[in-house]
Amino acid sequence: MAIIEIRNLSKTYEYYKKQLGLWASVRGLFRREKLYKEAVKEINFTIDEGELVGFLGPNGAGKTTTLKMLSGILYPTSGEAKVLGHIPWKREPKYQKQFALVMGQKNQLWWDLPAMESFILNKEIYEVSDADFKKNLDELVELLDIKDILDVQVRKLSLGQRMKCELVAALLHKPKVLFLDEPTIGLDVVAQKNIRDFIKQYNQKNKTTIILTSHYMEDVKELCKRVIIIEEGKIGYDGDLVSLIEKYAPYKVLKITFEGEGVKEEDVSNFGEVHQFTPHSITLRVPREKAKNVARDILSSNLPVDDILIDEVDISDVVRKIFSNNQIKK
Amino acid sequence: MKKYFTVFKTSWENELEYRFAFVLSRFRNIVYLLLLYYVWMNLSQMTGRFAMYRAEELTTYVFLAHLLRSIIFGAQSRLAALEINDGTFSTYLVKPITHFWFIFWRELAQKMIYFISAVCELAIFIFFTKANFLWQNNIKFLAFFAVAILGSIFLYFLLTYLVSLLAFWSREAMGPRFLFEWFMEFASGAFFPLDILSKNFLLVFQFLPFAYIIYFPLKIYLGKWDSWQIVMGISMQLVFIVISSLLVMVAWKRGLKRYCGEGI
Repeated sequence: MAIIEIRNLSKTYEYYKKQLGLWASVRGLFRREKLYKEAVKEINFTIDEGELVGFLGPNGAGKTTTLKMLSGILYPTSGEAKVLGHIPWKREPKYQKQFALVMGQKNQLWWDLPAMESFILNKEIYEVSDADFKKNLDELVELLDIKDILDVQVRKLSLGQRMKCELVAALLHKPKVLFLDEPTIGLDVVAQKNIRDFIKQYNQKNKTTIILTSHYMEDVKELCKRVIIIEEGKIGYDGDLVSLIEKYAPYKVLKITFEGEGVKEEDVSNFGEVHQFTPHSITLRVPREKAKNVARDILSSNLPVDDILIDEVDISDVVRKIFSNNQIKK
Repeated sequence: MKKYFTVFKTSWENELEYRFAFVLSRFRNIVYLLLLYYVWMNLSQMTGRFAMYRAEELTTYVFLAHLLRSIIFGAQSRLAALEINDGTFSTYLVKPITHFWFIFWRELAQKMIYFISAVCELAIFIFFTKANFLWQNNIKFLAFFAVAILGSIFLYFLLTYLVSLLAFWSREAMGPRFLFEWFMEFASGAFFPLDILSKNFLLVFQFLPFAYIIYFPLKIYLGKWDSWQIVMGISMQLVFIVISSLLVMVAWKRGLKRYCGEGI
């Protein structure tokens, strides 16, 4: 069942041209040129219940603008959207009680008070019963392992601890839909992994529908089966992560290590495109359908092979390549 | 309602975290109190009165203006303008809460703390200076005084909230807001009774909402107005509350259409 439906959704921002220089700034006091930026251009997609979808795109692609429209912060310029049967920008309390938005770059916790105070405030705002509050809080606190920091002022918490508390504040009312905008931004590797593991477990356990935007490919690789790629306001790809790799990376990677004195580059270059080379380890790129045969040929050659591994290309390389070459095809 | 009471409670706790800001703010108000008290004391010393006020009426006006400042004036809606500019405002839009009432209760928490402090300051001041304070014992005046204060709290908040909503249109909303607050403080009668100014001034001020914020309730307390004038004044307060509420609704509706949540 489709929980999120978007049809021809567009958003155009109005802004004023800021001229460089002192004189231009003075002139700007009296006359300013109005400009328009189409942040989102007629996008369409649907998301089913319980799906965890990665929303990818370079900075300024329109990811956050889309999330802002879905959470009712922005009115669209045109188009339609329904989340859980509600039009988000009507901001009906009934809808607001069923979703949450977590922004990695914006706090909802009260900075100078312990996180627990913000949790209690959210309990009242979302009208969560005492029993549900206790049950949900205990569950989240245990999953995120934050029992010891509940009575510490938010400003004294580390970024990772703060993000955990942000997640608790957002999930206390058990939202059916969760929008996560860069939840791991700025976190160290360990904290990123903790947040990722939590999102994965939470999604599996509660069947919450989640849209996740992230610049960290690890997040996407670990969490999302489906990805939507948006660039310059348009959806360029919507489908399985695996299919994306097959479509945009028509090759596999062979990682081979050698014993003894190793090999020379000319010994291996005729097996495929040499991506990385040292005498004792190489990385070859070979067409997907030939990967097995090439591996067999290398093993049966005279080369002093120690180990061979056939691997998929790194998703971050694929996405980076898509963005840098602007090569999204419909 | 419970959610807004929790906003009040949480805001109260938050306010107490900012002890230095609190002390500075009270210091500013105490300086005003001392300054105005001694200015009016000196001006009325020779004849025992100034304009149409007796010395103790002027003293009472200054003392009560000090109290009303603490419970009517507030700074939280100013914070709302900053929040609109930096995108924090978005966090209210996604929750089942009304921004206006959230800010109102947040400001009320601050006002309550300031009010308690102002009462203590005045008690200490009166104790040491043995100043003459006029206790009003007419129930009718006291009841209308209370009603007028309630009206003042709403009117002040609506006006400042309205100015804060300018942030939807301009990133420079703080400039007009500063000017507005400065003028409002003067035109509300927070420094002196407005009727000591020339009649022409008073005539203009009577048709502005500001005079109904401090000057009007204090005139009731001092028993300077008859029933008809009080009813007229409260009606004017109501008219200004209705007009500013409508303007807030229009500005909110239009502003939200322009809002683009910059900063997130």
